[in-house]
Amino acid sequence: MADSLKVRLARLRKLGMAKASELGGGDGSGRPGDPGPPGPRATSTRGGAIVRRGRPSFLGAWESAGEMAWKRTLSLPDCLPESVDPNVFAPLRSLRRGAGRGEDTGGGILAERVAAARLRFFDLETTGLSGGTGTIAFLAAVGRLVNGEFAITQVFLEDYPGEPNFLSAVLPLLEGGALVSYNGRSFDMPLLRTRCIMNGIAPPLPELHIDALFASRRLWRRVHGGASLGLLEREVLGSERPEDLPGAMIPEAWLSFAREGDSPLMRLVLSHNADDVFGLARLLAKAQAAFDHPRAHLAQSDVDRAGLGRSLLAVGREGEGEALLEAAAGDGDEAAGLLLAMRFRKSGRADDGARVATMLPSTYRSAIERARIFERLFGDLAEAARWVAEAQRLARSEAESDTARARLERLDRIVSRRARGGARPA
Amino acid sequence: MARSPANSFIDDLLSDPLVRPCVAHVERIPPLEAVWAPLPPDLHPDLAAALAARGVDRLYSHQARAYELARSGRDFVVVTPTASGKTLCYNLPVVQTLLEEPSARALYLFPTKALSQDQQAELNEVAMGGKLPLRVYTFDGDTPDSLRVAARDTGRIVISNPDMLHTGILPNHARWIHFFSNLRYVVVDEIHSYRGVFGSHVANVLRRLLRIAAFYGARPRFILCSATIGNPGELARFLVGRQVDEIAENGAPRGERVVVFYNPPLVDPVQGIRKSTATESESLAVRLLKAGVKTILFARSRLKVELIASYIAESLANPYKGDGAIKVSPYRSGLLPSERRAIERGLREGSIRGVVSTNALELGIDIGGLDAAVVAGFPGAFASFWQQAGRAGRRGSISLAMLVASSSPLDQYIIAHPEYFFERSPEEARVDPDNPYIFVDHLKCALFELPFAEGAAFGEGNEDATEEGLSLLEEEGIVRRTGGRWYWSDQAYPSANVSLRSATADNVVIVDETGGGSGVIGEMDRPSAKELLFDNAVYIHLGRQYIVRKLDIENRVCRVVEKEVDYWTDSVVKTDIAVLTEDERSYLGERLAECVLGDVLVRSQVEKFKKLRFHSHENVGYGEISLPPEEMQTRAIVILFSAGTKAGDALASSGSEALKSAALAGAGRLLHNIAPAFLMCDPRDIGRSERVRDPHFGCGAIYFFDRYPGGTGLAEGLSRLLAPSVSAASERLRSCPCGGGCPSCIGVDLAGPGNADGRGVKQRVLDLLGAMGSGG
Repeated sequence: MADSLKVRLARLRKLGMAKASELGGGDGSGRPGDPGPPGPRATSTRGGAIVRRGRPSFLGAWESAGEMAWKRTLSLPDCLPESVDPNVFAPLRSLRRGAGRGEDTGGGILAERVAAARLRFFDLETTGLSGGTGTIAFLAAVGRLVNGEFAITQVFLEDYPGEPNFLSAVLPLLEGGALVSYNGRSFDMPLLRTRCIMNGIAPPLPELHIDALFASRRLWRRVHGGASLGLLEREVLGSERPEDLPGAMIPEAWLSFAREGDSPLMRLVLSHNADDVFGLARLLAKAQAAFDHPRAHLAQSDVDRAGLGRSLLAVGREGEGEALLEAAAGDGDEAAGLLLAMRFRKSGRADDGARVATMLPSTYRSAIERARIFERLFGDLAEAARWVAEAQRLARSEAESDTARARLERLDRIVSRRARGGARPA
Repeated sequence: MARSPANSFIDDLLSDPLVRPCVAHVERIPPLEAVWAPLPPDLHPDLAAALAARGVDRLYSHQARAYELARSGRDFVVVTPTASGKTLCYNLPVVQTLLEEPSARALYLFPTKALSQDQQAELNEVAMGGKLPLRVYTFDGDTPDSLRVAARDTGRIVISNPDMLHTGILPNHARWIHFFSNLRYVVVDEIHSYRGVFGSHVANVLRRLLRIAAFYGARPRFILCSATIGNPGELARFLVGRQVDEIAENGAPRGERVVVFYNPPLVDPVQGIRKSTATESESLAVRLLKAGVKTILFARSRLKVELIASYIAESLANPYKGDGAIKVSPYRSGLLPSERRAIERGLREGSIRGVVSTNALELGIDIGGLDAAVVAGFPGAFASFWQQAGRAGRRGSISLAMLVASSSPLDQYIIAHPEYFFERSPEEARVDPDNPYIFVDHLKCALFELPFAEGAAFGEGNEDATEEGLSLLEEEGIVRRTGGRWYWSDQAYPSANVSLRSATADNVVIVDETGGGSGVIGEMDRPSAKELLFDNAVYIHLGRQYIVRKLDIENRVCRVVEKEVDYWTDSVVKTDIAVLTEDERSYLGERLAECVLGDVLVRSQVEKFKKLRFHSHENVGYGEISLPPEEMQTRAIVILFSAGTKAGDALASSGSEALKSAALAGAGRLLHNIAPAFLMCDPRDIGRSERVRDPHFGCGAIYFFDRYPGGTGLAEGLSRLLAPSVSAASERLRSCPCGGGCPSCIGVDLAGPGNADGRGVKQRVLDLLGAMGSGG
């Protein structure tokens, strides 16, 4: 049985019909955007033995980190804040659950600030976007404060057999502090964990992992239309990289390097990786500054004040949070206004509620909220009814219309009950 | 014992003067008593309590044996007809072990999602009934992210399907480290559905699973369940790669079953035209439904399911009789998952009293309380018929299964030979371990999951094939060999492009644009879409009619608008064949004919379609289709009417070119339709093409090719079973009452200009088949 399979496979190879699943059912009509069926590539494998023609050109100043692994350290100016508050960087939903940390390592209330010296900024370059076991990390950069400078150590994997050495060089760099990454909770860390398991090495157990993606989104996505590291580096930090390559080209750059022995693009990949970590550190500093001095942003729109406000509320900094949200509401942010209005309404803060209500725009949703404020905070049912009627006028759907009508009817009932009995219902 | 309405109705039905003449055969299968065994003495007290809470205080014999085998560490397959308590065969030993070993895990695999969701409900019952501390999770495409994490980390039993295992679980196995390290059992249910190409895929997925389990140091045991087929042990061994024990005796009770063969009456004996199977099945089902009998009707194709369901709905919608309250639902693949589940629920709850289905329901979803199964046309395999018939019947009560014959030669043969039907052993599930495309596809996936050491084998004994396959992939540039190992060297995710179920992974999505909308109402694989969803085709979905506005193959979208018309459409497919290799040449009998087995390149093109009026199926027009052809490489067997063979001589003396052509076409058609009686396949799994003077071989030829790329063992199987197929075909034709050809033998399109004598064609075909068989 196995024999005939080998024979059939050999025949397929000879006939040049190497495209396994593409051949089955092909119909000559490709899909637009298809790269087309892969032709047989130039056979430049080096067979079973590891053939190395000396050190690749782009690794000129690197030192060996074991067979097939290399490393170097770059020194850059210190760009870090004095300390970082992990709580403001946590995803909001985990804060609401009461776990105040960036990593779910046991919950509890708010975590303490982390000194700059204990921060470990890291980023990986990989051979693909899936976190599956066939994707590997071939380049890692870890940045931290050393002797007053921001030192970025990079480790490079030359080829697959060197992976154990690569990992042995990377893992110690991540120890002794709190990790900082960009989307690392969903991608980089799980991938690193997988690579450790695949090589029989104990995976890292960071005490804390701050993923700057969540807070960056809250602070800047609405302002700049996106929150990718590259975009924010340009728009928020104001820096351009003179030569950079698109992230999509990175996996293939290494794969063809590993196949061919050299690649003109690898140089760019190495600096891209270091730049990413440097950018991450500076972005974190910017974000921390916004969280530490939020009132500086009251009159400006360089950050999303509603996002900043919500973050502050989530960690219990109520005064500041409300101030930011109110600034946003004042400039027309309806969601911010509604959030505040609800907050004030539920805690009985009449003056605050009245003030914010005037900032709300002319929409169904806001009209309903204003009605509720008048009813709840001021007991002014007539005014409440007037606002519900306004809501009805602004309704855009059957459902909204029906809800408004129901509210009106309810108000009417209360009014007539009071008129009859004088006493308010319990 | 209460008699269900089906019973008295069976007698009424059989004595009805309109029905009686069409009844070709009645078989009464007596009821079976249960064979009992005591509960195992070592049962964990919580488990015993959970069973007691469900009223279970003893086991069927096969359940007890399964427990025994599992607990002694054996791999085994349990062969069970439907509704015989097979779930306990695996649940009992698995739950027992999980209670004894706090970190042990189990994986349950079902062929489809719907089944596994049923199973989740059943398992929850057992787990909660005894308040057992076992977390059970379903892990499939619908599972939300939060539950996925829980399933991986804390799931003691994970229920999934081969597709999810293939694309979701195995390529991410590092996240499942705790699960795989402690995996003790793998339960694979309904293995009879893992035959042919699907079976080859699943066998390879299980190979990858075992490879990964070994990586984490686990050696799980298999518990497999199969319906009644001829070779459950062989199929099991093929799937899991090692010997397994078999439990073939079944201890469950079964009510009396009445099987009725019904042959629709001839309306034109000379032309051989019978009343349509669809209309006859419909009227039988309607009678049953009106008498309060919960009925399921099985039809052969998606199209027929929709047609029949709409016929029935029409019949029942008479406002004066108030039967409109009887709800009948069509059920087929191509419906969205939510639609299918709503129907299953309706049947369980009783709001739907009848179902029209393709064999999708043949798989063991336990839909309770059906009393009758009407099978419209032989489903291509006896095992399938019994599965479908087995849908009907509640414990202790009598049930009815009716086979309504179609006019196809195979059906007519079966109707005339009930002894063949009831006495034959069930067919064997055909498996092909050697399809090179499937092997290489899964080799890619396996490599993505774990590198291969040089000289390693993917599958026992496959060192050479593995080396060959990896070298082939290396030439494609997606694999590299270095440092004594092979590595995945590409950014893609290979399992995303390998579909376990169809030749190509890309389906065409069907979008309803009525009134300017754009809702997705279904999907279909690309090759079928070319044959069923061409521009201006009539598409029926859940009883509503649509016309195809545009089939955009490039973008995999088909746009339809709702429109009522009084016809449906059927495409005409043209086939070209190029011979690639000749692997084996042999003679049929004593130089009766020659046979060649080899690889061919098949090009199929749909060029036009017929419009057929509903109910009468008369041809009311034609239309043009312009779509690019489908090409594929596959295995074929060619029957050659070469000079010096008896068949060759018979063909040479057949008369004019037109007569020769008609004779070959008739013989080919008949063989094509009869052969599935011997192979376990559907006639639609085989393609056919005839040539009076074949350009490659230089003589008369009939090609039979496998319709799945790379072949699935059908061509090889047919070459072994050619002799009995030829004699069955001869017999069918000899005993056919028609004048000069009919749908039940050589077809009706053969008489034409140049050979206006249909009788002549029929005789020529008889001569050809006779020459190919042992007779003169």
